[in-house]
Amino acid sequence: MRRRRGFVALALSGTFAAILCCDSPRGDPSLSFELFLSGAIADRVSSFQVALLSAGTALDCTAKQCLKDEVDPKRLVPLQDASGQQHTALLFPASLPDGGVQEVKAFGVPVGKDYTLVVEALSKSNPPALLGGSCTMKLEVKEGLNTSVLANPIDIRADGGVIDCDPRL
Amino acid sequence: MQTAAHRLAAGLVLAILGGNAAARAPLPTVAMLVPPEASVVAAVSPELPELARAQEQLEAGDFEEAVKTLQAGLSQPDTTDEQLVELYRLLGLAQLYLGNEEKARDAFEKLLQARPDFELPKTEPPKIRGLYARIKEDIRKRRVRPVTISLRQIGDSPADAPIEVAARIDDLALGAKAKLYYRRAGAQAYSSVDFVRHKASKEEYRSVVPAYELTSEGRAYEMEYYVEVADAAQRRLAGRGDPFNPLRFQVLAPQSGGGQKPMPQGGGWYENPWVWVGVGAVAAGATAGIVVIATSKPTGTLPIRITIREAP
Repeated sequence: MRRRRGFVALALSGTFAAILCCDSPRGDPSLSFELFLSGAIADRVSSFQVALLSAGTALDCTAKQCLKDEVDPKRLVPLQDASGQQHTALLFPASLPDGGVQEVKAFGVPVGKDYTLVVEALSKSNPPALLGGSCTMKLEVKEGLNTSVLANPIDIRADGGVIDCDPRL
Repeated sequence: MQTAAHRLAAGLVLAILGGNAAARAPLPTVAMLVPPEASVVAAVSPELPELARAQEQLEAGDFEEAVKTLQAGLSQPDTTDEQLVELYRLLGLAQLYLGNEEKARDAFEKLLQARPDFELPKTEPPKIRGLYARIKEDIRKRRVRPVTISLRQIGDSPADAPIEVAARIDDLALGAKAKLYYRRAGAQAYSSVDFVRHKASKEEYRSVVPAYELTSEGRAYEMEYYVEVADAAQRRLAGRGDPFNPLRFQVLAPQSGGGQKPMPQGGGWYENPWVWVGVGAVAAGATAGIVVIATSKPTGTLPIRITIREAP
């Protein structure tokens, strides 16, 4: 009986290890269930705009509008790109290599607490429209390299609908 | 006599707005309407005398004079965003106390154009906060959108060449104009060029800093600039940077022919003024560097993982 129980445990752990191995090349189990994504939706995204709001800046995260129409750009925390250039917000071309997760980096973020991270997905139209956005609140940034933040998922409509505003800051 | 009458009026209005507590002690409540933020505004930007005077007039219950003073303040050409917000906030309050709700509404709408996310301090009386909330809601319903401007900042640029500045301006009000103001860093006055609407797009604008303003000088130098959208009465509606907190870019030194100036013959090295200019520049740079290092805030690198999904 004990031998049989051991066999079942071994089989289960093997299966689990196989799932982790194959679904997430980075070996990060927390990601494996979030990677699934319709390719059609991903194909509509041209780029992601990342902005950071300082503590105390009022933001209605349920509002379906561009961040720049809701918040004075002066209230945004300046961010640096990889070359050290400072921007109000960072724009990253969409590239979802893992089928749904793209890792980007913001540099030169002033150390602080209670930041709100806003990520907006831009369409491929010209000018771009807003496909969707997400807010991630209560972020703390420490000096040096911080641990990776998983931003809340951006909901994009499957029927091709967009929010009619140009999100570029 | 007039002031006394207005003090009485202030007491009565406060009794209506603020309830019994305000009626018992009207003047301190009027003082409370001018929150401590105002003094912060004065500390960070050059003083606007009209602001201080209007605050005194409000505290004295002299609302009509306060309105006149605030309107004079609004007609000043070089007001910062913070000052505009404060001017419109006080104007809205003064109009409320005079019973002009429509004019108060107009002032608060202007305030929201200048600072769409502005919230009144919690120290304001609930009636005023309630009115302000209603105005915000009305603006949202009427889709009166604030003017917004997106600007690609000017990077370091070569000398003797014009710089084209592109901006996207949304919801530009009728009669309003966008201008680019620029000057050599340290100069007294700004020059300006208009933004011209792009033929193909209603929101895309461009302006050009002429080449003759960016002459080659054998070494790099700094330019300051800001962009401002102002209405027909020259009131600032939106902008990037302002006269006192301008944006900056470098005009680069020419790459070729950068040889040193010849030493004057017959004199020692210490007689060459360029040596002392260099020494001064190095000393200033070192001082600035020390100040920057001593005052710079620590920063971090933030890796962010982005996911998307189909909307439910």
